[in-house]
Amino acid sequence: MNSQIRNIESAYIKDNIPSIQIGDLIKIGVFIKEGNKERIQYSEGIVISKHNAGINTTITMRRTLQGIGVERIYLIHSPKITSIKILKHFKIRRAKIFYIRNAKKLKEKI
Amino acid sequence: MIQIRTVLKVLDNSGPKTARCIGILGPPKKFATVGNKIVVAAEGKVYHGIVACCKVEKKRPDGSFVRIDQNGVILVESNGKPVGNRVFGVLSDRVKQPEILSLGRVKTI
Repeated sequence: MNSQIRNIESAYIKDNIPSIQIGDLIKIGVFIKEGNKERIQYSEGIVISKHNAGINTTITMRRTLQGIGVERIYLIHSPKITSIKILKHFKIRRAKIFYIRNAKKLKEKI
Repeated sequence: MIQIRTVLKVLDNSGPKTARCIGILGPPKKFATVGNKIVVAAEGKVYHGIVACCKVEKKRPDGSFVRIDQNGVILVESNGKPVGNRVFGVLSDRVKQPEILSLGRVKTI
């Protein structure tokens, strides 16, 4: 990446983020505002892809809510993301694991 | 990205299980997304509908995206009153109409 861009971004890149790999089961805390109340909302999910782009690094997290799959793409250096905790790691031999979207039984696919 | 001929899943207990989009309300456009009002045909009748969740990712103001595994719609009458009286499943947070959010325990994402 351009060194000038890297110099500007280095002021905003977080250094306390754990090293996230594909196949990690993570718990991510997001700062949300409902009306006047502010709180941290936690959600768990499995990381199915990671896109490295400096400060714009994103991860895609997949979880199942009431039988329906929901995917969320987070910018991990965003100030709204308060914490990322790795709960478990599944051994994966791919860089992106989009095949789990068609999985009827997730444990067999992973 | 809901367009004409898209088949959507009905997320309330109004009767039909699926509905087909036959038009998009509002200023002329080709695609409808979450929160938009569309015209649907279900079991021989024509209703309006509010798109509740969408398979194509939707960007949030904080830069994150949400993608839900199904295209869902909530049937409403022309005056905005919902046809059913309970809503199931996962809705997007763009669905803000209070007469829909008051229909029981709804999960918005």
